[in-house]
Amino acid sequence: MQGLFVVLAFLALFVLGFPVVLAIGIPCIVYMFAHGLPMELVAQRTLYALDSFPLVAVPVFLFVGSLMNSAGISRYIYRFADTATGRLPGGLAQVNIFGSLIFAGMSGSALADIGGLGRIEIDAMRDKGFKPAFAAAVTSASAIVGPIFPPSIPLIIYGTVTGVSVIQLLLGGIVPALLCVAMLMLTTGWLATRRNYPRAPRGPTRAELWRDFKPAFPAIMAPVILITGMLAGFFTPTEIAAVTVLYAILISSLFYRELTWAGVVRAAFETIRASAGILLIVAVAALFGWILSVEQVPQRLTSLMLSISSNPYTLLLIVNLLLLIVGMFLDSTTAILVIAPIIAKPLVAAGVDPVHLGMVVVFNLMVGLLTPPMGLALFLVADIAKVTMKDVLREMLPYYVPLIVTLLLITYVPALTTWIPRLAVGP
Amino acid sequence: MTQLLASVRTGVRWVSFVLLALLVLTPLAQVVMRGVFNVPMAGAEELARYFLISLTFIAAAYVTEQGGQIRMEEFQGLLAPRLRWLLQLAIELAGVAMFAVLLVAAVITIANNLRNQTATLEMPFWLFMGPLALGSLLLVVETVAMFVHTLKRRRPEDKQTVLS
Repeated sequence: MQGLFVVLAFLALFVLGFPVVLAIGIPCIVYMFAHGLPMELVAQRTLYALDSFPLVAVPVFLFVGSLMNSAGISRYIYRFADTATGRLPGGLAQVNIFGSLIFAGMSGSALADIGGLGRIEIDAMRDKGFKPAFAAAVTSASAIVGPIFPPSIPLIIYGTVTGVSVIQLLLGGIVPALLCVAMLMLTTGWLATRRNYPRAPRGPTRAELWRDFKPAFPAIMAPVILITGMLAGFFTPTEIAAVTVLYAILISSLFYRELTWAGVVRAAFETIRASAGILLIVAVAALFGWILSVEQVPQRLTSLMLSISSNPYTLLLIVNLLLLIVGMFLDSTTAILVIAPIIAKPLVAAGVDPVHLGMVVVFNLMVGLLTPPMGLALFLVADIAKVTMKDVLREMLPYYVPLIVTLLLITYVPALTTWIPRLAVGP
Repeated sequence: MTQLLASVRTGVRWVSFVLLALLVLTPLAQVVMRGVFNVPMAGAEELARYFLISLTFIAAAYVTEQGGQIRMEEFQGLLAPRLRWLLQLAIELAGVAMFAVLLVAAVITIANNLRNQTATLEMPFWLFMGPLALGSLLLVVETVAMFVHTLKRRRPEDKQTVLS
């Protein structure tokens, strides 16, 4: 019952506009005082939540994304994507989606994709006569591929709080991300045909493809190194993150020659701001998770859910509906930290593969980045494209269909997620 | 006072910058030592985790100052300006209280564990827990500064979260 009070108090404070850190922390501290628990518990729980080597990958991967943006690598990715896919129906809209997939291989954050590559894509689409609101919608819809394709910040956080292998989660994201890209490209092709969107007058010649592939090649190699390193078991996710930073700095300074010291500093401060913001929530949410387990909330929910049904697919449907609602109101990091420890137990008890569940949860919450009122991706993209949220939402409507279809496929075809992890590290 | 706060903020930014650099370099050094020289670095993981803890708590004040704390502002937007101003003051005061509790909790924990040390690197416990105490103190200072700023402004901030 008191666990419920903590949850309700968190929701009330969050709606009132308290920063997530305070909305989570204040009810927890009140609970600790009310139960006369020692103050040391507050300090220890908060600090030990961050005493995790996989979590080190969070700021390091965020740094890779910021470095790529600072070094202007996004431009080369965009140019290659333009040459390769600009002739497809939808032209630059397809380029936008394909570019996001390449960028996803270096950055694990949707907001980094929108803030970097997204700016270039929106400007280019506007110049070619696309409506800015449509450009914003495609940019935000395709940006959610970033946190699904490895590396992925939300998957690392999910693995840390639930104890699921981070490597298996990251590898599990490859097929769902490719599936999502295919769905988004099909939708864009259909919309483009109906709305007669411009596209490149002809397909690229081999020489043109080679010309634009060459400068993009070092950037495209980053995800190849990353995935190979993980598949072969050479590196842990944290080590591969550090290697990717070194690689990004090397190619930016030696090959692209566009990275300046000022650019490194700017990227570093962007990273510090983003990562400390996320990790402070992770730290305080550990108190929240501890209180929920003391109050036996996961156990009670397990009994409740298993009394409704023991069929894993029915339970996954319930979880999906719950997460779609939660995703509308909570940002993805908070939602993972608050919800994952509660739902993981009943679902795994019902026979859902933990890696599969992680992918369903994270993909679902990424859709939440695109749903109001707490759609962070929508806020950012509307700000960049200088359009209203209402206009972006109107253009987003057709894109919710492929995203939900992808979510259903990920949910009901577990092999899409579990195939590569099993191939690499066994069942 | 303003100048002192500005100096503290500059210090926090550059310490965070150094910590981020160390956070990247430690796993990298581990890879090089293990892969190239076949000499695994004992304690590298503990050190990286310590830098992560330090970065998070010390940079938290910088995040707060920059408006990087995630929050939902839609409900506040519906309120009358005076009510919104009062709510913002209440939130900042609650922030001061919560970070003060964290500070006290960290100090008590350090005081009760002065003879303890970490497992691999045998780091003294006060050093291990230090970033939480220092970070909480900086957060108290930053949140008090925000509270004073909002109080003097006599009207609410339009937007407090900055995403880009």
